[in-house]
Amino acid sequence: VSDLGREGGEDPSPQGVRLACPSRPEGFRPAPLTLAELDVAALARVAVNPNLVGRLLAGWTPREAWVAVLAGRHPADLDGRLARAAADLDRRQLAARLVRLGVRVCWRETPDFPARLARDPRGPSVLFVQGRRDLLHAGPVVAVVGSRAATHYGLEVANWFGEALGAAGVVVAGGLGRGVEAAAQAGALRSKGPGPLAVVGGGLGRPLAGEELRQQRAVVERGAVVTELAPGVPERPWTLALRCRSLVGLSEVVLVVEAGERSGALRSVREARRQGVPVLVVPGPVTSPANRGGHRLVAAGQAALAFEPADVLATLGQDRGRPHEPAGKKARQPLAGLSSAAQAVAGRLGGDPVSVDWLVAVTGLSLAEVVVALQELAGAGWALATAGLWRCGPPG
Amino acid sequence: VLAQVWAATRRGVDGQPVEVEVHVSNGFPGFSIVGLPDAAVRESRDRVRSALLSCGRRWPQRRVTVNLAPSGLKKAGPGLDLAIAVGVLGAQGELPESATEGLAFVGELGLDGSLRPVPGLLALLWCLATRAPRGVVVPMSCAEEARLVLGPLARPVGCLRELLAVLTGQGSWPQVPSPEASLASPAPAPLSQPDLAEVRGQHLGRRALEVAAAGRHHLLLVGPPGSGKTMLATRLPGLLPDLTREEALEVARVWSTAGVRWPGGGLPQRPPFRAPHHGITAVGLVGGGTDLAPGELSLAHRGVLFLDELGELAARTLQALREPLEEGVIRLARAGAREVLPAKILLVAAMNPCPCGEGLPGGWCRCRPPERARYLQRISGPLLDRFDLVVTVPRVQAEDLLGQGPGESTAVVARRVAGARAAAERRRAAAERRDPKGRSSAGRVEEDPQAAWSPEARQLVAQQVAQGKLSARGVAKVATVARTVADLGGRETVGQVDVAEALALRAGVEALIPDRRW
Repeated sequence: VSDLGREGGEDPSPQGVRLACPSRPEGFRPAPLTLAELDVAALARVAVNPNLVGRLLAGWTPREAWVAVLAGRHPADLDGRLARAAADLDRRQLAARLVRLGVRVCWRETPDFPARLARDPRGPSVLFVQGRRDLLHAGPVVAVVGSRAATHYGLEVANWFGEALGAAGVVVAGGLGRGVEAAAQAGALRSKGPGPLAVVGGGLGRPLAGEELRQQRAVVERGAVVTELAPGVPERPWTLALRCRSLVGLSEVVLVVEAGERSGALRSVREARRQGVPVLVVPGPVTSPANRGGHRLVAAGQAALAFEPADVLATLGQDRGRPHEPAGKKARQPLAGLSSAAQAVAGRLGGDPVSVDWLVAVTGLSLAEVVVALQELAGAGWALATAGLWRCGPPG
Repeated sequence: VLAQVWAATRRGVDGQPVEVEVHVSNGFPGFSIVGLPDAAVRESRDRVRSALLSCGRRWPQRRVTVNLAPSGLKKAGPGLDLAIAVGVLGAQGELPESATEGLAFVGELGLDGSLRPVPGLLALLWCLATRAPRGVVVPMSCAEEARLVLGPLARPVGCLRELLAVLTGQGSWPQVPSPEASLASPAPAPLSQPDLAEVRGQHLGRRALEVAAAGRHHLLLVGPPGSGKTMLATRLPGLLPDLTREEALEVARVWSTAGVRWPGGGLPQRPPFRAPHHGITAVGLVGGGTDLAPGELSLAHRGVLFLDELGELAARTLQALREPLEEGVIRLARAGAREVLPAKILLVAAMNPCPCGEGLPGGWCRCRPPERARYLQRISGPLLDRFDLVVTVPRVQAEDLLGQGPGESTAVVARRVAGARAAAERRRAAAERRDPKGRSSAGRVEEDPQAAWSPEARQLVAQQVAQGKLSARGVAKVATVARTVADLGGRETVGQVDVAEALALRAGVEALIPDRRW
């Protein structure tokens, strides 16, 4: 262990080192971190820019590259900046951090580096994976992207698609935090599927808080968090731009749920077009600006419509009819079997939430009749309430 | 040389009898008051001196000591002026002891000897009623108020000169216009209360008012600005039944203590309605200060307290609401004093769903989630639990209003409310007969909320619980509200309709969950 900080000398255990981790309970055996992984992580930490890491590793083994950078004779290190940074780097601390976070490193030479990413010359060259490393190969990956400031409709649709895709064995990918992407991942977490894949635009181990922290913990437990950046690299606009290429590169389909005309989600769409990944758009109310970006893609022929999870599966080549009804949920009862008041009310419910008062006004029924009809419809799976406002929910 | 006269001072909403002892002795001329007087009482020396001189009486050129017993109690306010003046005369031997025997004196003196009204007069008279078998002398302007408590033993006089004439046997008690005459003269204009018929649409909001009035359920209205929350809330007092005489006296007493005049004068007949600005402090709400004065919660006793912009109230102020809403009283405890103030109120609160106001589903909220979360977190869980009814009030579209006629008027709904209250009272009385001791330690007979429920109603609640939409506490709330809804409809059994309405009247709780977690 003490040799980790010393460079150039013979490493006592070239295959790997095990570090005791003080923050873990006794008996916990962290995954072994190989020296090569540590070298790659050190290179990524020193270079910061993932494209530079790719140039550092091109044609070199990690060990050779690291030794060359440290000695100031790597040709990609034009001004010796990397050599100075490498000399200042506390490798032992970096190793401890990687082990503590449970981060594994894979790069183009390792067998678990996704093949399609490895083929893309403009793709990432290093990935840091926290959580289930095998998730990169657990099944087809679908990126669900969309607005962070989503509407109730968008969150609900994303959640529905996430759950249904997860149940069908699809890995749902996206970012952490709020909005559509988080909602889709929460849906995937609820399903019995392979778990979500979060692609983030900052180094792992960043201090998180609130919603983002809860989400991160849940994802690491069942799925994985992936990034191109070394632990400790802060999130910046340019790192968020890089995030799109790994997210799209890992995915077989990009699904857009709610993207406004200037939404950041459209960046992933541009990246998908560059990489030749099919794009699907879930439509929404045409009256809502939150959907204009997505609708425009469809109108321009750059994306196809997906109005239920089966459409996504069909694009993946997994057309299995409708086997992905989430377990434990009943299908809608036919409307014809409900009371006439319930049918009248159901005819007025759409995707936009409406108030009980409005329903009373347009149906001509009394308040008592309307509230009873709404409860009947809710029981039959036709109506959904949020904060006292009612609309048609997703059938799932 | 020594005279003893009865007067009273105020503590919270109660009066405390004070014995004013005046001693005039030889010595260097001077005047001192002992017995923890406050600034106003200490200054009464100058008022009393000028008033006596104005009435043509002598001011003793000797040593005057005034003791206010019990000496350990702080005395506040100028209401002791009259008693001190009478005491000074008595101690000089200008009034026989028999003249003041059995009388008590309450009033502030003007420099010309005129008598001015005293805040909290009702409470003072209440505590003096037993000490003063011959009556209590009060300022003429408070005659009507005094008569509520003392009847013929209220002795209103216009000025000190008049009083001295009576006490020395040179005159008789002045005639006061009879209560009927006084009531007839200012023509008790019924307070113009807004009518419920003016509210178009808002079926759920109107229903919420009705249920709140019938079952005394606290109501929270959540909606964007301009959706009619305030309009609805101001129409709630009109639905409440008139105050009984006992209730009216309680209300009058609190108001008089706070020094707030009842609009229109006389004994209040309608429940009070208080709507303080949201900048109100915790003390302004629950009461306090050195003299433990009642706050807005107590002023709204037996009536409606309307807190608009609940989300903008200071966090401390909001949390101060918790015990009073549960217990109906405020137990103030300060270093020097303890007091129980009444606060049996019906609370109506209104707030926006987020700082920008547009945060209802389907709205265009411009708040960042942390802002919204901070705003909503101020309405803490325990506070939210005090509201049985949480109703979202979405904005009404103008075209929806055009086709609609006026709704039911206040009078119609108030009749239903009275009927429902009577039904609840009958049920409570019946339960008390069955089980006179009561099951709860508070002595209140609690009904089993689901005792008289139809199978459909039970099934609907069970379904909500199974879907995770209703917690155990939520079930209890829905049960009590459903009972009230059934009472309004004149139904003995709580049916599916009642539960569905109760659920709709509580659905707004969801709008206040800070971050809908996915």
